[in-house]
Amino acid sequence: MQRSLVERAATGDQRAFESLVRQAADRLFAIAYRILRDHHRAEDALQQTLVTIWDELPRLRDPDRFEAWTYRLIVRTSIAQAKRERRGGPVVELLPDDAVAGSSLTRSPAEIDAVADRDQVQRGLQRLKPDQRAILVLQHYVGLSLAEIADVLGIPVGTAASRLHYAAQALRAAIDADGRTIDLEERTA
Amino acid sequence: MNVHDDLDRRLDAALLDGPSRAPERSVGAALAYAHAHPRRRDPLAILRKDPMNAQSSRFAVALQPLPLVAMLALVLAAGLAVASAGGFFDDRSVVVPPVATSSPIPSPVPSVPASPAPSASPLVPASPAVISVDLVERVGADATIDITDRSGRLVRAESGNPADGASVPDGTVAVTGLAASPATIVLTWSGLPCDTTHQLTIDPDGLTMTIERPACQGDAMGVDHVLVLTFDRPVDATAVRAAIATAEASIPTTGMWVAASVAGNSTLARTAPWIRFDGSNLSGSTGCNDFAATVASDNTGVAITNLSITGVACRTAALHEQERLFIETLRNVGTMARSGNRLRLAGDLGTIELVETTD
Repeated sequence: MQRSLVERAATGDQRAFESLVRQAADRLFAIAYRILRDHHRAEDALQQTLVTIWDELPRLRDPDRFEAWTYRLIVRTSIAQAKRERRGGPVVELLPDDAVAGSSLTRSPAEIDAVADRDQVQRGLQRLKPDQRAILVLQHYVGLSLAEIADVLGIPVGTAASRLHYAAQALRAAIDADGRTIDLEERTA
Repeated sequence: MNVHDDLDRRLDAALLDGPSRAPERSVGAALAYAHAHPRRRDPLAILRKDPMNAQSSRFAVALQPLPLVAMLALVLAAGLAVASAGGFFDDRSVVVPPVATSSPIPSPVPSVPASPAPSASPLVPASPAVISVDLVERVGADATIDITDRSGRLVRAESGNPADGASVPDGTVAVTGLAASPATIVLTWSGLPCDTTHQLTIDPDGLTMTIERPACQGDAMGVDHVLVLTFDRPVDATAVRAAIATAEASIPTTGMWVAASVAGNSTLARTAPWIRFDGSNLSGSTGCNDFAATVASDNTGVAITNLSITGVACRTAALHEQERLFIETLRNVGTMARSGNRLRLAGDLGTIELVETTD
């Protein structure tokens, strides 16, 4: 089904392209958001990726590789976006209202602990380089195997394994550093 | 559970947090971009690098059998084109619809000589050519079409020979190319015997065409109108966007409409203007500033008035130019034509092509 849509979109069928975009957009946006940690920049990355898909689809020889190709595009666009963001200074994101609705007041202690744990991992992810976040997102969020990650990133499997190892190590170090900072703040309070 | 498993579990849980639905604005803008940039035939496509095969060098690709065959085919095609242009195939029969006018239509000449000095504002068209063609009618009164060519590429226009009855759905225009004459396209649209006076506007891009026709009620059988247009260069019929505008076009009441092109210019991909209709009010963004206006329609067409706009300076010159063109074109809109999820606002300064999206 998707193969047929890809082939038709490549020849300029706009309905087929719309179907493809509607199928892929949610996942691509979710990946971009988890790499960039910013809604608006993820939105920009998604739009740029979809435009690139339209422009370059005729060059994709094997329609079965469409999904992997879209992952490659969104990862590259997001990493480039993140590098521009770093050069342009920090970005302050305003959370949508529903992100804070129904929060801590109605939660049980176990739920609060789980949220605190997720927050700590999120802060750790924030400290990683964008390409480290990207490879962790591909493995842990998208659920790709090592070989698939290597294919998406266009690197040998051994290199992908090495990058994953260092990304996980960096995350662990970032979480430990975050824990030490909180301990210090609690002692001085 | 070891430390590795614990980190994996925590990471899985943390990454589940966050949005999982793409914003419609990005999707709509990308679709509008695709609509504004229809796929062109790329004779060198086979030679271009596969984006998922980065390891293969261009040299290696060029040596593969398929690209070699493609290159040979290109050389052969170029030779055939040269032979054809030189009259080598002139003895072949070329299917050209009969000319309805008593004398050949001359090449369009501007009705007013263009000023020798460049115009101060590029928004003011330099007297586009207008030519009139009598349309062949099977039944009903004589029909004519006045053609305003803003592209400057039209070299000949004549009526085709319609079949009996209506062959295309009402409100649509069928565009077909002629294999023997790549610079010629045939527009076919249906109507009633009483719609006698038509107008065709060809936008500066040479691909966006709007046929305006008078409102015409009746229970007569539908008829076809056929118009044959020849340009000074080959035209891809599949890239032509032709639509019908009637004087009583209905104003959309719902949805968000993203501009794909303004006066023949593609909109900026990430900051395309958009419009939302709410009864007789419309609001939207130029991609830089927000605006509001009033829209009214009657038998003579559509008018957009009381236009107000915020005054924020645009970030880039391209954005500023897009805003200027969009607002000037919007102010001069006279007709509105809707076809499915596409809307065309047409006026003296060109057309605004919009694609519906939901947000």
